[in-house]
Amino acid sequence: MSETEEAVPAGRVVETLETLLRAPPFQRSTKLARFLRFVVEEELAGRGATIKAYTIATQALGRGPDFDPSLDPSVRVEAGRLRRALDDAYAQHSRGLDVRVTVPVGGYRPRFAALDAIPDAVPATSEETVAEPDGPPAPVAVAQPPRPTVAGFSPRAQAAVIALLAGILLVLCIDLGLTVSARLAVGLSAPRDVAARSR
Amino acid sequence: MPRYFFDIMDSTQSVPDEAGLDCRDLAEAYRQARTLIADAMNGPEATCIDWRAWRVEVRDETRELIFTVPFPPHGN
Repeated sequence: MSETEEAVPAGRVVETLETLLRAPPFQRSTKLARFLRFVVEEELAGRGATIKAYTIATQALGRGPDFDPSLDPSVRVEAGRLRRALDDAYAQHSRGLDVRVTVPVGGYRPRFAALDAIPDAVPATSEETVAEPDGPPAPVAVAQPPRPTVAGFSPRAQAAVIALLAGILLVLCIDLGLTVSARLAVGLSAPRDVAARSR
Repeated sequence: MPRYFFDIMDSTQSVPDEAGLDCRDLAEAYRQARTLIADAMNGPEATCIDWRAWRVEVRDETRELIFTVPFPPHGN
């Protein structure tokens, strides 16, 4: 599947979130489930800019108000585990997941990308076809054998030349026919002359 | 695939791994430990954490310690 950068409707993100939370990595860890739900819901609510280690620790991970992210790496560590859990969910349990949720390294704000079910294939050209993996066999394109052509002449010019040659041949045939018939006429009349002379 | 758990700790704090990760073998478990270290050291906020005191303890499904990966002194 391929990702698209267009804005994803919030409803699709929420559906994906609920599907993700049913995946085994999030079923095994309530901390990761709360972390994921918190950052996704905050982002959808328009509060993405306020997602910080402190807000995650105190509002999602149950830490007290004395949490100090400069001394305690808990949120960083859980963020790394969250990324691995998301990778695992999309790799092993991708059914029903049509939005890719990521939490890029270096931050805690989630990003959403629609996953389209279009295979990453090279587009077919007019003379090529791409077979569907599970569909009926695709029609096979029969390659047309190349037409014999005379170098330097287009098909129309070739037709004109052939017509011209045919015309010349026709004229020659007519001329030959007239000549032969004239000779025959002369040949037939000569014996009469001879006979007349001999008399 | 066997599942490994990656507990991250120093001498006073511990961030235990609840979910674990399925890895093909020990080599992949080691790579995952290194990735978790890199993620932890590259967070968005400034810290005063002395990473040299931190380590990843990789454990099997019975939670028996398999090996330990120390954090490097500086970011990867």
